[in-house]
Amino acid sequence: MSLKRLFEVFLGVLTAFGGFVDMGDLVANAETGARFGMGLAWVVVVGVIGIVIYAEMAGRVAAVSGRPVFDVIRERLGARTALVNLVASFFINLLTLTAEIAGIAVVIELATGIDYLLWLPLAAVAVWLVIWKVKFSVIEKAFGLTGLLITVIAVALWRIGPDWGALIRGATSPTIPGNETLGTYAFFAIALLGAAMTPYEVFFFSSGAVEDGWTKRDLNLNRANVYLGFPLGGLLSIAIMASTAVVLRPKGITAETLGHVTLPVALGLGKLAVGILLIGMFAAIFSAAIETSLSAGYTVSQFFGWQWGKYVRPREAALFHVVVIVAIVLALAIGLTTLDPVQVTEYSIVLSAAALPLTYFPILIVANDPTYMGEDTNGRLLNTLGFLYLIVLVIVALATIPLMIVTKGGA
Amino acid sequence: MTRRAPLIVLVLLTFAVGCGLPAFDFSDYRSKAVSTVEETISEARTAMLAAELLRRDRTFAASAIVQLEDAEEAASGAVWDLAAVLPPDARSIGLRQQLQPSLDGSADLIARMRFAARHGDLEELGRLAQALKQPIGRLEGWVEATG
Amino acid sequence: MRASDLLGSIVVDRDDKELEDVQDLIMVQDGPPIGPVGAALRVRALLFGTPAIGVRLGFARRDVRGPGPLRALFSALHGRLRVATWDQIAAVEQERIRLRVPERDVHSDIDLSGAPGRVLDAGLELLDRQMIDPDGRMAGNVDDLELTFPDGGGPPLVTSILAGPGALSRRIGGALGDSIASIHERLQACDLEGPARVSFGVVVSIGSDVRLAVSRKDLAIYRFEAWARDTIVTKIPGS
Repeated sequence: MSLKRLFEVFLGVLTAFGGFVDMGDLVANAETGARFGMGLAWVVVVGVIGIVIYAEMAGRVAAVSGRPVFDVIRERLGARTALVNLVASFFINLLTLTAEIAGIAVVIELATGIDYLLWLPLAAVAVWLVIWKVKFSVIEKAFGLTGLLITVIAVALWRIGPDWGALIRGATSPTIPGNETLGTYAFFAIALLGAAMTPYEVFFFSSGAVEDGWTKRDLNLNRANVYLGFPLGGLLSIAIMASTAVVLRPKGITAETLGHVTLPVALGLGKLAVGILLIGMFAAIFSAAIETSLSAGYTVSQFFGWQWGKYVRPREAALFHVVVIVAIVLALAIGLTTLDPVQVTEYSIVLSAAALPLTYFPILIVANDPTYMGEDTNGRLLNTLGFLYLIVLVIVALATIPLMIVTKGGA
Repeated sequence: MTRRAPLIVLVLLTFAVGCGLPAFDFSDYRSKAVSTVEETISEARTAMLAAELLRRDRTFAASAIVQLEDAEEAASGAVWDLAAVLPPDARSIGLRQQLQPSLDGSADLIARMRFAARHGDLEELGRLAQALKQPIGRLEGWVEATG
Repeated sequence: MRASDLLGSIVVDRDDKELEDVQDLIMVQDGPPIGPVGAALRVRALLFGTPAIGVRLGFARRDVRGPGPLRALFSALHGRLRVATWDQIAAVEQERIRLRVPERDVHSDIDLSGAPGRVLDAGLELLDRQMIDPDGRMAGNVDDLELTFPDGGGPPLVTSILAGPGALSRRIGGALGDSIASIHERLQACDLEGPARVSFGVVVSIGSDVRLAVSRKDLAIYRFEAWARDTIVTKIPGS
């Protein structure tokens, strides 16, 4: 492999790694670590394997057939089912977008002390401006790579010097803590799964493959990004979980704000590291907001057959850009109702988990269809794994609402 | 109408479970008290940690102040929530009398810590954090004993 | 007549016995020449039967291979699929297709191996596909098909593609469809009567997408997008 190609792969993996963590991952992993220790770390592993399997499939479908996910959903499930799917996905996307934009505002609040509500409109406008003006590939790389700064949490953890044996034991033989129930354990398992496997990632990833002009030749690049970058992101998620498990849990502190995420880093490394963390969180959440907004545009446009994408001038994809603007405005409106950002995040990831079968099922089918894929249909192993995951996701989907009611939203 | 009655009851029950009914008996009241105490402990410990980090200059003043504000808001909210519940029996009234001073005291101290941090009075902040250990220690002891 | 008028209608045999619902239209490309795509598509038969989902996904008639368990599941589920050829149809009524033969004469499959043209299942291979113009731009989805009966009798020909909310609302039907139609009416400043038609004469090829010979800007379906472009997008600098 040429040096240039190797560099491309390296860059792609790092971008995928840095772009993995978003508001949902930050909140879910921090909260879970503080409440359950490492007892739910295995769910992150399960979630990462799941997103790796399906993101690779979605990327392959887009690269080989030129068709992104929502095109496929409509073609395979028909207009009516796809419309129901669209309404559900759009609503959950909107909640996620609200959480991300609020997250941007909260990070700025942590840096400046000025109330996050005042930053919300600015954050929304900033997200839209970047989408409007900045090239797709530049967005991906700039924000993805800056998001890598969040790894300072792992460094802080190492510096604090926890009992690694205890951490590993907590992860490999999970127990439910005395002040928690099986219900809350299951609820947070679902939340973690939804945070790792959010649908918008798949919509964005497959449409992004078309935006970047991927063809069959790029399949290996796709695989490298996904197989290497995402698991690294998963490791970072577990590091976030461990940091609150080690620092906050012994004190009886439940991590309910983004501020709590900074405490282990402040303790372990000090002010400079906290600054680095804030920049990293800003970049990661900002890029997630961009991806979620674009996903809203992609899904609606792909359902109706409108021209979409940043690879054409905005006037060539008018309806797509209108949808993006509408989504951002709606998210801002929801955010301004002063709903707690962390609560909105929790709802968005839990509902995401419930909606996963809707998204993943058609992908699994199309990845097996030779008319779209030619010779690049799924192998036996991938099909088995994909099918097993689908069953798990359906069970999760059915369990979500009852659990939400019984645990009163994980309280 | 009678055929739908079970459904209506089920819906109402779901809402009730979701929204939280007022305490029926001592054990309900006690479990509400436990969650309030745990929340207060969490916010107080957060405040103490943020104060320590600020005094050691290991975090930004802005971050620490924001966290103190959040902690104060959450703690006073939790304490108020418990105070708004009518104790159903004599034992519950006794429990409330036992816990109220520590809960109110903690919330009050957190508020004063936020004030001190806002005004950059790190010494006062340290004193208040030290003082907070007492009520929190009592609350933690109670939670341990209650099991 | 539209494809959506046939899809979902109940098939009734000569003796008035209700059979199942229409799931798909089986077409053969052996009609008179219609444009760059070659011969027109003629609706040769209706596929009808119970649960549609396996059919829709391609397990019944296409060689979608896996995963194994899903394939087995849908084979067990899709029960009976039957085919009514066009000459077996007596009348097309509102929501009903009346056959001129009794149930026992209805076959479960149709042998089109000797057909003089390409065989297409409308729902599986044409409906809901993306239309793409010569510049590679997206020009809407195939939301419905317009079918016309030829003067000399015989099966209906596919004469146009119908696209846009006007067509989509009818295809989706029910309350959901009506709400699409009303939202669209409220938003539109342009007066478009009925659905936007794309004549089949401008279709170049049918594959994983449908290629057209004219730019999307020349199509009626573009009007909504043009309105959005002129009213909103071009007002923002940098578009």
